[in-house]
Amino acid sequence: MIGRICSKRFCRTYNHSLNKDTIPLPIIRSEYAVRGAIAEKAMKMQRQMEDGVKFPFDKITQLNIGNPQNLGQKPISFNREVLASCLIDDTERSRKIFSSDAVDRAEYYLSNLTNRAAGAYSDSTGIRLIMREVKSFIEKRDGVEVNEDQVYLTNGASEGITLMLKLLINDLNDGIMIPIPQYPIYSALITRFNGTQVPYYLDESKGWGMSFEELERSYAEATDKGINVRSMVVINPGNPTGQVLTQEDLNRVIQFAHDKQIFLLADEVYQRNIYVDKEFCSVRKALKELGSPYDDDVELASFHSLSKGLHGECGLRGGFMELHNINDFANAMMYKSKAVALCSNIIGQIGVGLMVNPPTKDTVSKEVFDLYQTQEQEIFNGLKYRANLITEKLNSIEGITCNEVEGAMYAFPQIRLPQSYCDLAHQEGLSPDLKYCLEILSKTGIMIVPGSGFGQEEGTYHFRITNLVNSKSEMTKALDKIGDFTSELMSVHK
Amino acid sequence: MIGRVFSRNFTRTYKHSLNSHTIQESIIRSEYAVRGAIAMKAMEIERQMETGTKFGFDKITHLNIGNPQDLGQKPISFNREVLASCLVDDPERNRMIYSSDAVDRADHYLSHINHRAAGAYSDSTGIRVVMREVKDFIEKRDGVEVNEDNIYLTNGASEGITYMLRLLIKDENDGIMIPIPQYPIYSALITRFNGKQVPYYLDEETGWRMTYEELEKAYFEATAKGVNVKALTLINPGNPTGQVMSQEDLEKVIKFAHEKRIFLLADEVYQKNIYVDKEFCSVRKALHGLGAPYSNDVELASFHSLSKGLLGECGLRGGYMELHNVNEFAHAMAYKSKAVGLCSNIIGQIGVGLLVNPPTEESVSKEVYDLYKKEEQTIFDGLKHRANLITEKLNNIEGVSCNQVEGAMYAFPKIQLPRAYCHLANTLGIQPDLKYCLDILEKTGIMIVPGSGFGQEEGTFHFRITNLVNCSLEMERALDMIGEFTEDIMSQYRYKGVETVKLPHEPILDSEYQTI
Repeated sequence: MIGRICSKRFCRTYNHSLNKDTIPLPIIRSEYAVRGAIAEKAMKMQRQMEDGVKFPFDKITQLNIGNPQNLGQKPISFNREVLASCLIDDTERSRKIFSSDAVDRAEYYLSNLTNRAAGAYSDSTGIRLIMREVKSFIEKRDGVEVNEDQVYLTNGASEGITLMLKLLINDLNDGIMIPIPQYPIYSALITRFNGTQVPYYLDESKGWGMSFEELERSYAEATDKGINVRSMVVINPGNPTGQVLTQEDLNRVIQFAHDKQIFLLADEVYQRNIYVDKEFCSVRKALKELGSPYDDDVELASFHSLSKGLHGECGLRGGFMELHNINDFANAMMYKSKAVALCSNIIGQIGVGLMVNPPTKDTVSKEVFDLYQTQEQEIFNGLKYRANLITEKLNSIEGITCNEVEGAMYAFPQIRLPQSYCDLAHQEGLSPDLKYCLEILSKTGIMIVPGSGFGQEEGTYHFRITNLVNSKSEMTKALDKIGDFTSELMSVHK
Repeated sequence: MIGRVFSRNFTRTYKHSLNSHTIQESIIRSEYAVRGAIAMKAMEIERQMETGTKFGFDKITHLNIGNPQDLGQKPISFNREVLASCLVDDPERNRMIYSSDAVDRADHYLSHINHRAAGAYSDSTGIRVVMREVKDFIEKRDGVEVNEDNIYLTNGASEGITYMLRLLIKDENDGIMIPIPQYPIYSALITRFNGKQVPYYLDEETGWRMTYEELEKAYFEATAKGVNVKALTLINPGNPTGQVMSQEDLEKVIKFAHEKRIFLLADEVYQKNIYVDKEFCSVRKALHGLGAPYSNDVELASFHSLSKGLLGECGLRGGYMELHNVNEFAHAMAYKSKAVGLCSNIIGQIGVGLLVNPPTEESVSKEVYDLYKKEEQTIFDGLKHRANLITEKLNNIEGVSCNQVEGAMYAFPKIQLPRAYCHLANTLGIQPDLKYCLDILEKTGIMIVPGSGFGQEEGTFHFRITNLVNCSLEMERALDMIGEFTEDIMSQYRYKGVETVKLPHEPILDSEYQTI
């Protein structure tokens, strides 16, 4: 933007020095659809509503993002009591309103902090006691041995993912294999770090399954173009697709990674969100059970988060990353990068401790344990019910088909938009699925994200919607509104 | 590292794909001394202590980092009660143990959050009600008009600084002017983002003053080498140097930035840590005071944090960034970068609200207000007392001279290390000030940071030490130990010829870690 300014001596033009021409191209090209065009439009509408403008709905419903508590999910009481007791270090007072068990657990954490200070920076990798809890958690879950020097506590899984991708990408020729569809932090960051996205397609006709042939095809295509494939991302359970990978699937991925000598990134934040009769198997575990040479060789970073599962504590920003078979030098570089931001927030770190080391029958009173279990079970039941509800309702809408939601917090249905509608969208310079989502937002106040934000087969359109509206009737209502709007669209554009 | 693996079919070598050859140069070259070699050695010592090894001290004292609560500073009660009440949303129960005012303030925040959920992601820029508090704070402090869309709530100031530097550095010829000495997040990130550091030297003789001539010199030197100077960082009060800049100083910087058309980055996290008879003036205010054309033109990012001041809530990771005269497109790019990390943590955000909108006489009960003031005053008095103590004691040590600590949380004394000592360090392959700090650590358990981590005039040596040991007696003791050890070195090495220096048995550092 140019401003003309005349001073007493002379006229000069002052150009912003930070503008489109001077900002790095990769930042300009980087896109993150979850909080992209739909979010911007919604913010505008929100402001208009605040100024009194009337819309055909009374509020915006945010089904665009995996943000459970924003839609009514309650936090787990025990965890919050522990965190509050860590913030106010006064056991006598705390015991007046919190359970003894919660106060004791807070004491356990505080006694391991210098000067019992939750307000002090911790070591850069995290509070050692919690890193040990994470270590025990992984060892117990997977039957492996964990080196606690390879555990990093992070502000959500996002921070760990960012650090790893930054380390892996040297230049434009470095490629990272990502599933299509994928959670767009990967595409956004790969672009931002000036690397190349190497897509491998999940098969919608086979419940979003992954095939070895597809991995090979994707790899070969990239290497033919001169791309140096450095790493592969696996999201299990999938986002936005929700599929749960079997141990056999994982074995194939591991063998592929070993063969190509590429680094595996395992995004496992939804490991507690599984609604079908399948078990979660971590890449770490599959690796261990495959044994030598894989378990000694394959480089792996596994990510977990406090934001999903049954705790849904997105706002606390807690998570961890575990590195396996990582070169010492690389680990030192990782440590260094982490150190510049000092440490992740302490409350989030303690939240991670609570996630990986929950109260058990033997460690807390029956009352506390029962309440904990009840709260978790309610949340799980709600998520499962709505996963099924959403699958059913979406499939009953004309033009929409939806694979069963096996896990995570989303449905990713395919919508067959009429050709005339698509043409209209192209005229407006929009992807048809984006136009669809923008219109859903304008007509119903519901935020969903176009499939183009996650990646999809050429010529197909999808959208991602969460199953997180805490009230069954409200979730049903939202789906009905989408159904009504879509049916109308289909008939108008037939 | 190469592992040889035999399988049934064939022998193959499996190399780590992520190693020193495949990691970006810029990451390898990037250094952050505050948590570098000294921190790594301290961690090693701590582990040895845990397994029973005896040392000449019973604990490590962390005087390397501005981490007040780690050294005994207490948090402000009112703030913690508000935060706890946000986490456990049960006002009736909470009123049994927290003040009504705290519970009410928590309610003020929660009622502005969807479903009163402190556990939900907020908008990427932050919780709107807190952004408004930040807006009001800046407007009141500086007499300016703030657009709340220009405010970003961040995980500490570090996050905002990272975004801005990444936006500003497009290619390797892009340079960022940084004060020498500086807080090494700037040098670390500029290197990491593959830009050029353009140092401008603060003058130790005149209390770490910045001069217009030095800015010009630094600028011309850089441009002569083909560097495209994009921005200038100033830290006020300074870190590690503590100097407080006057409004006149700031006006000079602003005019310089305007003339060269460069972006200003104002790191103002220590604005409440001033121990001398000087007022804090923000760049924002000085800019406004200068009027047109400066106030309409100069692009500015100002950073503040919950980690310093009198609250010292480092672990909560709260902070904000305010952008001024920034192009809309640039804003959109900053917003987009922020969105990928979703949002900064909610507790930290609310902490920022409490920082910028503290309780007043009118808004809370007398009891709560008095306690708040008392707690803040106790902390301030302690910091001020120890700022003076540290200046005095360091100046008493032979070979050490220290400028008056005007503000922030550090002293940055100069130390004249004997030639023979320096020679020994060089033969070991490390900087003399690093050797000094490592020796201090081994002998006393005290962690301080070598001046080379912050930058210093060629041929001089310094170290940074914090004034944060909460107990004045312990602070004195630490300074005494440093004094004794330093005098030992001085007497041991002062008259030694370089040739008579004996090498120790083992190297002090694994050379891999020297660059960290």
